[in-house]
Amino acid sequence: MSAVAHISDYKTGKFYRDEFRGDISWNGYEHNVLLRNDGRAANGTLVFNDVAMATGADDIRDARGLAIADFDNDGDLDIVTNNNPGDSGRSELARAMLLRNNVGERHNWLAVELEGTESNRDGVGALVTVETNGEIQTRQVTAGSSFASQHSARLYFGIGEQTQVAALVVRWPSGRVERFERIENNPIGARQLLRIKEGTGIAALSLPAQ
Amino acid sequence: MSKRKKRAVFYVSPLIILLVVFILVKMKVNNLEENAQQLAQMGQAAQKVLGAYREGIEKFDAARVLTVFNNQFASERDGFWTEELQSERDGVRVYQWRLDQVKPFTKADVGEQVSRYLRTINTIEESKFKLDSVERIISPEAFVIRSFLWIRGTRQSANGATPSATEAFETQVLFRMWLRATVDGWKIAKQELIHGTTVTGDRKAFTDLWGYRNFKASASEGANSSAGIDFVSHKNPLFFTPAWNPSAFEIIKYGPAGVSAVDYDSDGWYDVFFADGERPRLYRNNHDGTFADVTEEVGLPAQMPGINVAIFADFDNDGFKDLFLGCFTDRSRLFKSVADAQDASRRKFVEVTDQSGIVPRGDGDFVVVAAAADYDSDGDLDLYIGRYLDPRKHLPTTLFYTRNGEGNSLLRNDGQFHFTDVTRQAGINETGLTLGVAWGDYNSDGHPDLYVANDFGRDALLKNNGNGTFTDVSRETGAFDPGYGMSATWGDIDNDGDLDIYVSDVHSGQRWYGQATTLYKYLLTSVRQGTIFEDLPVYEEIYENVGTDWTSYGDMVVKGNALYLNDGHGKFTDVSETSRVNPFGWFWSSTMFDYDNDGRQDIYAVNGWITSKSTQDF
Repeated sequence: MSAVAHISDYKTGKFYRDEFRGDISWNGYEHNVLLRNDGRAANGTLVFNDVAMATGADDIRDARGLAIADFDNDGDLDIVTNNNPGDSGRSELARAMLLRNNVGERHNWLAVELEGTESNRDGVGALVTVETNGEIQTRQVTAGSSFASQHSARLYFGIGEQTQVAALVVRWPSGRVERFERIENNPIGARQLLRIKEGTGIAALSLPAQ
Repeated sequence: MSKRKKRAVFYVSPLIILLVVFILVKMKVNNLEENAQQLAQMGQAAQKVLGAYREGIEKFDAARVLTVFNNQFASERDGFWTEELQSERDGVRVYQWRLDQVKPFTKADVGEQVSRYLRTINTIEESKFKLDSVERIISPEAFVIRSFLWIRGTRQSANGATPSATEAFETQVLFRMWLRATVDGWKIAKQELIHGTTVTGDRKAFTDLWGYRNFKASASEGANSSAGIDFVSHKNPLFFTPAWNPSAFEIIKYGPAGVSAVDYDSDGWYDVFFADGERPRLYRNNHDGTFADVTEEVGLPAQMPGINVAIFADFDNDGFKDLFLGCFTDRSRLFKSVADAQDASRRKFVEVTDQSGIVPRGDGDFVVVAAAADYDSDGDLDLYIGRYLDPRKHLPTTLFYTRNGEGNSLLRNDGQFHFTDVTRQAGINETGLTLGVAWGDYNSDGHPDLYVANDFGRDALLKNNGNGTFTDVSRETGAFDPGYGMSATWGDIDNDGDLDIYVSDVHSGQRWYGQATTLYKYLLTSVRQGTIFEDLPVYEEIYENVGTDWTSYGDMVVKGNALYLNDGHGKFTDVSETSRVNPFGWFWSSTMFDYDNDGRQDIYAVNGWITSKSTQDF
């Protein structure tokens, strides 16, 4: 049976009722995807490959919300999802999923926390750009996105095997632009938490440890 | 002309114009209707063929696969499937499919092609063979499709260390197939490999922590939680009461809910809040690899039905994150963060909804999503909230251009936890069924713009004009997404310094091609059900955007998740298809993030709508 065969009933609401569907799933038992960005191909196309199965990130439940943060302060981003109970009666499908990242910490990273002064204190809307070897990466501070979710306001930059970055630029919501190339005469090194207060300066710290 | 005559002309002339338009449209849509019927029949036939092909694969039976191939099968150019290693890192191998021994293929060659492939596989755990699209109708007896084969299982490990070792693999292949009517039904007369990839891996880059006592633990110890997070989602109990029985749109009860990662107590450790239909929960990070439920300890109610979204933002710029809770079946709520009188290092939430100026839409608020930004650049955070429809009274007006939502709101922060609804002044008229809102300054003019993803309909990119108003620039910027928008996120995915957009949608060609959806059919249904006047403005808007060719519009609607690359000059290019970021399925939340710290943002997208007792799909 196919729901769409009854499309002329779409105005009656019948189509959207449990009793109409019975015990049959509706795009249930589907896996989450992790589309790995493999950069540009020779023809300029951005190449992605779904590595969810290969990395163990391919949960099959009916997730709705998704949030990303470094919950264990190890320098990589972990995943949490809120999974809908669905219609299977199996309570384990309604459990939240906490997915620990075991791989990001093997490579170098930089974490950045902002505090606005003229701008809003959370720095929401600020764009941070990290420059390494002529390449740039940009992240935005947000408070709400995806489906009904909110991600880490501390920004993370993966820098692979590089041990320092050439520069870090903050474009604040107030319009102020700040560029940092050194911290107290030292280059900006990897595996640090950089705390930047608008118009005040930059400090290099470690991520809080247990 | 007398006043009376003028009035008569005023009333009659639009009627005559309407009639003429109706006749013209009817002539055009009659033709379309015929095409659509044919398309539907072909779509169903193709699904039958692919189903039989898949059965053959699952049973490792090449002869059975061959039953769906035409005896006169002839491809000018095909070959045996081989894999070429494209990359290997962090325990993951990616292979591209290539053709070996390329030559003209007969049906016997196809048999050899399939047999050879099946010999590389040890076990098949799951498989699907889906219709992606009907590309072209050649004649009533012949048409061309794109189809998608997905297989997951185990095979002999390529590591070669132990010859008997197996590894998990997943194969995703896109084919173009020519189908022809024969006396034995529809058969594949010709086939072409568009592209194929196989991925293998140790599945250990991520660990699902269910059963783990500690976030850092190396193995599960049978805990009844994930490092203390024992959250289980619930349906909203109000939907099972007479007051909130969603009789028009019952399926709404499967909607919730979101999740927020936030350092609510500013201690440098990220905490988690789960929105829920019944019992939202806040888990505090204990700094030792465990989490504890502190919902009631921080002053939040033990039960709060209908909370879909939580936004933690410092609305009063005091250094601590306050909390907005968007609700469906009750008013949305605002909480101020205050120091805990007993323990100054802890935070509590005190409700300030009454003084906030935030008023619900009737007896509920229908809020699903929200996002904060300083849209007016005055130094404090404002809120945009996205609503769905009232499921007790309304259904989506169409399956793909619905505009009967309760209407979204832009709430301006006036300070002192007071907000003013400035939606009208801002010129925002978003009445889609909103499931994704995200702020991002796409044109780098210093004013945050807004992307709104709408279910059953088209999304909107709203440009912030910098003077308190917004303009819908979806079409002129090239970011017009007609799909079933379920999530929206901004990010620089191509590392060129500007913000790109990723939107979750539905990718389900089989639903579309399994039936005939035309303007004519919709108009007829609307007339029959007496909703034609309510629906006319929507049809007019669709017509303005896409004309009457709803068949190809339908193709766009179900093409799946979309990635729009920003060219840095205010224009977007849809690269979903070429970059293959539109996997099959029914996606909800998605986001960009660099999971492997290689400097490129990846995409995680969660998939699945309603898992029921049976694995059989609707």
